[in-house]
Amino acid sequence: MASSDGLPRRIVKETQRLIAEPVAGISATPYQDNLRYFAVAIEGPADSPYERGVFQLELFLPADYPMAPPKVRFLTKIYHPNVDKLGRICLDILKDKWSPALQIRTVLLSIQALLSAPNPDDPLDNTVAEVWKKNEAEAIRRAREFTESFAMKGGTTAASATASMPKKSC
Amino acid sequence: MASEDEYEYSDEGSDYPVSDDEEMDWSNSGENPNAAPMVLASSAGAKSGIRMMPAEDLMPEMKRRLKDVTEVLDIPTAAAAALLREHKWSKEGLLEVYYNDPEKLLKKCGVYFRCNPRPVRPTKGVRTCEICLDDHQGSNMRAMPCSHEFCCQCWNDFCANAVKEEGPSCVRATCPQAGCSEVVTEEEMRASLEKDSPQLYTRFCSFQLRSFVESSNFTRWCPGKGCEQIASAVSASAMEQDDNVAHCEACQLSFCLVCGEEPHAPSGCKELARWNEKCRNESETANWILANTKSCPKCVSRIEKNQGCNHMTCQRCKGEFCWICMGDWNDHGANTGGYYKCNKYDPNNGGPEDMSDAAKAKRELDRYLHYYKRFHAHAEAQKFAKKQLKETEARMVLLQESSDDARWSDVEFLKTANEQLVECRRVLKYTYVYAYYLTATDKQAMRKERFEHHQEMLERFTENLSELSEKPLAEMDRTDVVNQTRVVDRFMKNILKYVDLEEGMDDV
Repeated sequence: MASSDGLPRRIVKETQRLIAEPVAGISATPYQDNLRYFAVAIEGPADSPYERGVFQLELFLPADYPMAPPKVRFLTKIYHPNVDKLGRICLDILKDKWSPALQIRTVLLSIQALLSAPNPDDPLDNTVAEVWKKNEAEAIRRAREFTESFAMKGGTTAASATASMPKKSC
Repeated sequence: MASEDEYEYSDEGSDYPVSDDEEMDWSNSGENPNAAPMVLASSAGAKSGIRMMPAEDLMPEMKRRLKDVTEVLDIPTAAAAALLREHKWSKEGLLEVYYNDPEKLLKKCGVYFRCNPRPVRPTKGVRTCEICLDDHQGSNMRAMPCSHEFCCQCWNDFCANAVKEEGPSCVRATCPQAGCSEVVTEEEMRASLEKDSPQLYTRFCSFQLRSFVESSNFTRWCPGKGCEQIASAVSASAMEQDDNVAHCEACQLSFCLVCGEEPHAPSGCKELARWNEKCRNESETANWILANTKSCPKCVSRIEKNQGCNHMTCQRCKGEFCWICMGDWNDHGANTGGYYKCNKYDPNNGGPEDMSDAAKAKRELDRYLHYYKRFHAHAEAQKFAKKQLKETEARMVLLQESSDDARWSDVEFLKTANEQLVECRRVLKYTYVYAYYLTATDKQAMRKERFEHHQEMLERFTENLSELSEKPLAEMDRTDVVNQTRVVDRFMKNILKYVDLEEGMDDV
């Protein structure tokens, strides 16, 4: 086990609470060799084209966290107007609306909410947003197709990501 | 006359009207807003209601404006600062919006709770800080007026981080609570930083002052490289003129307080902005058409202009011509009666009866090129004159040594002449911007004709002076240069005064 020496108390507390009181449909597990780096899995919300999918993300707490926001990125391919091909997310609280009173938990809940309510008016991926605005039915169909191909069990991802994953830098 | 004198020198010094509200009196500490109005010089086109000062000297004025709004609205100073910042530090501008819907404005500017604080929580009892998630005694918690509280250590970290990471925009930092838009003001910054990180607190204060300079429309940083001086209008009425020239002694730089560009009388800030925009858009065409060199009209050898004077003499054929119109220089002599006629654009050259779109576009381009060509020629001549000015001192030394009993003051006329030349080239340059935007309505046709007459005179005497000042030292005639300098100065002031008067007529 890596020691938690030098890890701010706030991060220790947040981690403990995430494990002790997990949020429904969300899991966040720190890597053993870097306790600022988390493997995250978010279940696609019901009544959304992401339903029944499980999406892998990585989350990193920078040195000045919580004064600076965590860095979060989708690892699973997803068809969403606010997520680009590299998995980067357009979400205000991850940028200028970040507040040190927010936590990993609240960030992940916001990302889950973004899956329920895509916002094509503030897009990160213009082509996806364009389809979303012009032909929502088609966009939802494609999103569902992506979910089935990349985010369902037996797809390209494994929800059981744990300690021995390769090191990644953010 | 030295160029910097131009904005201070006055031959008809007049009392400057000072408005009641915006009056700024820098000479005493700003305590008495009704102090005697300053006597300001007024020379043609340039009103020197502008002063240069170090940033700190603006502090009293900032405080005075704060105090004013604090008293009128009966709100905390910190709230007044945030409100003024969003309204260019103009009390009038702020009050107008404020009285429409006070609550809405206070919320928009993030000072609603600052003016209507929520109840303070007791200092007793243990509570959790939302940032570090640790439990603290109530006495160790510090709250914003919106009642969001955090422990002192987290406050310190938050404020330090804001100043360090956000830089100048830290003056707009908001409450650490998610979704709360109440502004973190000097009060929180002082409580958090003054003791533990005084250098960060100083930095915050300088950011505040900087925001004052940058957001108020009567101040501007000197555009000089690394210069920390600020130009500031003495009164609101001093800002109403179009040409507000500030002069920084430290970097020997003049600039327009309103737009930050080089002084551009007689053309106004808006005209200049339109002109610059147009030149940017058309520069490719213009550059292509106006290459840097021209052919001698007689022998067709390429000629590069390397001095400011437009009277060209071809090295090869010794032919003399005017650089601007490429016509024979003899046509420009007084005895031919056609002295320097090349400042006039004749739209009939292109055949006005042709009304096709292509012909119109061509005429419009020709019109633009006519003015651009002359604008550009004077811009280049100004550069030459500036370069020459730098070398003038050496020439002055030579000139002094060439005569036995010459004193330094006897050769200073050379510098004066050169400075005058730079000024004239600059003014001439902008007369073409002004003329370009003078449309040919009936009312303005006469004005345009008169303007062009003034322009012609200034151009003619500027060329004279340019030629005189470029002469070899041996042929230099002091009286001649001094006279020309004075005459040219008179013509420059005349054209600026003429435009001023005409514009004044429009306003009535």
